[in-house]
Amino acid sequence: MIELSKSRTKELLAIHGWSGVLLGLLLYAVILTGTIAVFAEQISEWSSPLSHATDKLPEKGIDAALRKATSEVDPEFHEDIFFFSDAAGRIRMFLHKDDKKDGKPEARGVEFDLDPKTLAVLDRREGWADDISEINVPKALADFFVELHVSLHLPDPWGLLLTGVLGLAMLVAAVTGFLVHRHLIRELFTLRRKKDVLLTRRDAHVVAGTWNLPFSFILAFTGSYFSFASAFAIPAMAMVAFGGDQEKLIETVVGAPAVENKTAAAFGNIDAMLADVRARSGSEPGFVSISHYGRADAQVTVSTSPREGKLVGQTYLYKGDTAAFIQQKPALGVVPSLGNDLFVLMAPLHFGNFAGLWSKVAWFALGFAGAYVTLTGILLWTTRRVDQPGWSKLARAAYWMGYGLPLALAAVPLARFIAPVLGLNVHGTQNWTFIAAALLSSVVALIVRDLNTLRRLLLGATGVALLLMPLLRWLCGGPGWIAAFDGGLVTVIAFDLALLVAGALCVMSVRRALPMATAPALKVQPA
Amino acid sequence: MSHTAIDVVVSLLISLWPLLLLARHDPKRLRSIRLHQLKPHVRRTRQFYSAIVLLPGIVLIALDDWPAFLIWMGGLIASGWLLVQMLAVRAAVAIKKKPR
Repeated sequence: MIELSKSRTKELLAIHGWSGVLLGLLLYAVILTGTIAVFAEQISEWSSPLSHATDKLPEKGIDAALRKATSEVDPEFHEDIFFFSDAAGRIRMFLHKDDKKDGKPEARGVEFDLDPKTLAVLDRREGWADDISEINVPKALADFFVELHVSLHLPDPWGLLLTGVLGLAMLVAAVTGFLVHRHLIRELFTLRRKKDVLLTRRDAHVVAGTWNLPFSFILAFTGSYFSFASAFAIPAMAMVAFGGDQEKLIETVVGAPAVENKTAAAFGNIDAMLADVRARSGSEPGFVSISHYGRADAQVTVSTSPREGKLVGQTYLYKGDTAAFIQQKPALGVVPSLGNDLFVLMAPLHFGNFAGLWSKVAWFALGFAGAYVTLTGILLWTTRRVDQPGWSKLARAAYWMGYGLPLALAAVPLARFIAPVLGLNVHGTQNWTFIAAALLSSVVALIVRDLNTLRRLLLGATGVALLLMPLLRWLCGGPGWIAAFDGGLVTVIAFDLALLVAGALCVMSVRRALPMATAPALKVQPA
Repeated sequence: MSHTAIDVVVSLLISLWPLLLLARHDPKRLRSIRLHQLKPHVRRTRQFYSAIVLLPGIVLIALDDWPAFLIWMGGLIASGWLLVQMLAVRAAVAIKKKPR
């Protein structure tokens, strides 16, 4: 417990409340979509499964597939190549060059989706990187949630800057919440469900906030770092030290660029390099990057997934023409450093992707708790000011966002499955469906006077949407449970079951009248 | 089952039992719901149980098993929060049933 004077506590409480209230609704959206995005890989596997599930690169055949791909594209796109196991195990291989689009750095080239078992080409996309991602159907659903989390679908750098600021607001709220709460440990188990709506809301917010405090710090800090690094820090550093050349900055920071040698040279066997990585690291190769394919200065960088018991993977460097091992290198620079250690920790701490499903389930639960803390905080603030008309509007907005956003998000997978059947663009249909569902819930929020009825309507509709998802997936050409079981597509079955349970819980909770929603003061606030 | 998974399950099992006891016999909680059948724990007992709750985390750090430590911490936080919710619902039901 930290002793603070009464006036200091009052000041901190005001900072805590205003930082949450001003940006709370957007923060809730970012946290909720981040919670869903924890399962981005599984969402792709569920929405666009192949007949055989895998998340590993095959031990043989990549070399032949790479040679075939390079022979089919313009040699200018041999400048940079990367591949990795992507949506439902499809090997995503992008052959490209660094170019400028509207004066901004952007990659341009040809992208292939390869079947991980047969290495047959499943899809070929060509053009600018951002245009290519717009027509990547297997990733469409996961990308929607990830983009909403990362930038709220706003253009760069504004979306990233906004989510960075939201991360900072969360950090401020967490720090001030920790400082002002005088009985942090003493009230860890105190959750009173009484008729006093203010007390109930206060306890709900404080208990969830206290339990989730360590992870609020971690997620807010790492989230802000990711947003600000790409939106502000990298361009700023490039401006100061490299005359605005971001590629040069990244090349310098990452380290170990080869001495330029444009002489043509045959490329070494990539299968052999990957086998060597497996032998050295004891783990699976994850991301493979090739620079200057077909030249004497070609280099191959292979990053691995984390080994059992480790938070981060390793990075190995090979000479492209001879397939000779050069060195094991840090992600940043060429020698181990504290900066590199801190840098590589950011991703696993934010994404929770270091130990498969186990860590993802834990991160999902913590994200859910974070969203709950944000929403209950806004409701607590508005309940305290319920007699002031302006704040009662915020209470209504909190109900709209709190229950309307899940509904709008639940409508997106339905659009994902229907769009290809109707021959519509998947990304566009998803976006418009989300907007339409959000608008519909706003209309409902404006019409329905009683907040508890509003909650019931939105929650019930969300439950129905969740229950419809597995059925629609199957009706629109996805595998049924027997086919999924035969193909070892555990994720498909597990996701369907989770959605059915979540949908049933939403529908069941419609019948439950929350004491906090039926408070007389909140019941009759006009829109 | 991987080593990390085994470590997480074992450490959570060790932590959750004393956490349940701490929650059930928490003095402030019992006072707030006026549940007099359960005896609140004295400070020493609370400290002892708190130490057992945290012990698996310390062991995981000592073993340099950071993935298991983070999942244990996440699992403990989520379970602790869920436990408080469940106890609050049970207490609310008990209060309703109480003869006036």
